[in-house]
Amino acid sequence: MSKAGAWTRWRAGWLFPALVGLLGVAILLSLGLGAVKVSPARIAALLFDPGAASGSEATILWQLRLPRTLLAAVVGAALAVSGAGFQGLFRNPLADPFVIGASSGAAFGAAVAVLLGFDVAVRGLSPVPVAAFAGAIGAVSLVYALAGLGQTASAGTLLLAGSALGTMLSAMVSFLMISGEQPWLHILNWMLGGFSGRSWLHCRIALPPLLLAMAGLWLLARPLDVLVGGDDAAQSLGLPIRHARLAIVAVASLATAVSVSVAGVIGFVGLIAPHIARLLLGGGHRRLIPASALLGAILMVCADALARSVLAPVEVPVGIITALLGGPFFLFVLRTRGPRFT
Amino acid sequence: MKPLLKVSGLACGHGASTVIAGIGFEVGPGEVLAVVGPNGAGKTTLLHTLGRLLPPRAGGLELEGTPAGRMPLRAFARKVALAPQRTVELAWPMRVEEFVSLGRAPHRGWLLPYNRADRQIVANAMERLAIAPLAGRETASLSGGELRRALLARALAQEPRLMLLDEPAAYLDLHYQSELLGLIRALAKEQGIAVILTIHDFTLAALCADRIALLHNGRLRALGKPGAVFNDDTIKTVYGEQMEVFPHPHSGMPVVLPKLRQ
Repeated sequence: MSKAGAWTRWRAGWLFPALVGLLGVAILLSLGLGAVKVSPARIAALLFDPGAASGSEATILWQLRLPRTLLAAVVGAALAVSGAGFQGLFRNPLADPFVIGASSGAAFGAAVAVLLGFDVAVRGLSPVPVAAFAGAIGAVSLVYALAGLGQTASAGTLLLAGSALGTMLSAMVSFLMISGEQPWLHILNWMLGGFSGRSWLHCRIALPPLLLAMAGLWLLARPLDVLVGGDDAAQSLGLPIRHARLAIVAVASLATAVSVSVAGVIGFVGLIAPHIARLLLGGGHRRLIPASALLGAILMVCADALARSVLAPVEVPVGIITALLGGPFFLFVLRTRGPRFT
Repeated sequence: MKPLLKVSGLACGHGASTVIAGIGFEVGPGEVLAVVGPNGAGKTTLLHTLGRLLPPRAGGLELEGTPAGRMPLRAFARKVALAPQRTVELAWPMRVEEFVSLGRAPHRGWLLPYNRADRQIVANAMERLAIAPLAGRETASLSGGELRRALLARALAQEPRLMLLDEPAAYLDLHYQSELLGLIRALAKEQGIAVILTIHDFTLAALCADRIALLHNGRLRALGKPGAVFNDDTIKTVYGEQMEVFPHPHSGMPVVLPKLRQ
């Protein structure tokens, strides 16, 4: 057994508990932040003794902040994992559900469903996520076809195709919403993404498919590893390439679609989290995917806490925070890693 | 001895053009076959067809008596490993150990984690190719020679019966070339792996291979021991009149030298 391999395993051994701990701290802090502040010590005490909270405090913690924080964590994780999946699929570290237009595709699908008269919030099994799923798959397939099947998607083509498609789809969503006489602020909030007013109902709808999609991509870790080495190498290792690609597109699009239906369009988490995870643990997907999930969850919980507190009592859409953080990060990655992929 | 690989009447091409046709030969366990020929003769196409990266237009491949086209892709990958000519184009760096581990994928499947035996096989392959100290390094940081060996280690980790190596000596200096080819020959002999490799250098081909296949314009021009293939007549027909073939003063192996055109 090699020393260096053992070292990687050892590092993974302490990194995962550290990330879980960090996520716990982030959630604890996030629960206390907002229009009404609660100290972390008080939250910890209340978590162990739920009866001790006063009426309003209990409502704020259990009915408002806990579900949205939980949802933020899982949506962040799902977007990060789906980003890792898309990056493997396109063999390009700049791919992200937002950058390649999958999020906008999902938003378009969801908007069409909403306009046809299905409300996102009320019905447990609404066709909104299904329509979002179709939209995401459609957008990814189109970008894939444009970027060149089976080749290393060059950064230029990928970004141009993704952003053109994304902009077009966003415009169509806005058009649909306006022509459907939805209130402006509501549209804007959804387009920018956020967790304001999300309840346990949203958690019940969104968590099962999101967790399922993440588990699915984790199971696809080895095909992703093999695909990174190129099509020839993948096939000579016996991978049925088309099936593997289809499975990855389906599962990553599912994660994107459910995230978008429940939280709107939130960009760049799927770019930042896998990138940091890759720097920490290398490119192997079996570790990369869970590490991305944890980092994505931490990022999103922090972004949501920021969204609630920077302009309190007014909430900033989370999408604005992630774009403000992610935009510069994206440019940085493009500058340092991009040239190799064009 | 029963042949490991039997190729008969093989033809293949890209798009409308047929690149190779009428290729037939057999390779036995532990045998090293060097495929030589001018640029564009169809060497890489032949290797890719043998590795099932390209579907044959005609003819057949038999692997240990079974038609290769009827084997599931993964079962085929357990018997045949291919190391491509172009250096691995990883979308992002992977650690060497992870890269070599991919060779275990055809054995372990797409879901099961690698077990202790897999890790031991990977460690042995890296040891055999003297890249064990590089296990934790990223593939992007390897030199040309180290990358070649990582590719070979991955192929070896597949525990194949047949290795297809496209230009294993390309871009290496003379020292690395002789070292790597010596290693390939040793692996073939000690583990009974059949090796088919493409190469441009006749002297090295004659040194490392048991038999030589000379391709010209997609046809098998000559097949046999180095001394039989590298003769004045054949070489001049394929490569032109400015070639000289003479026996090495010590080993008697044929040496091919070009004369510069005035």
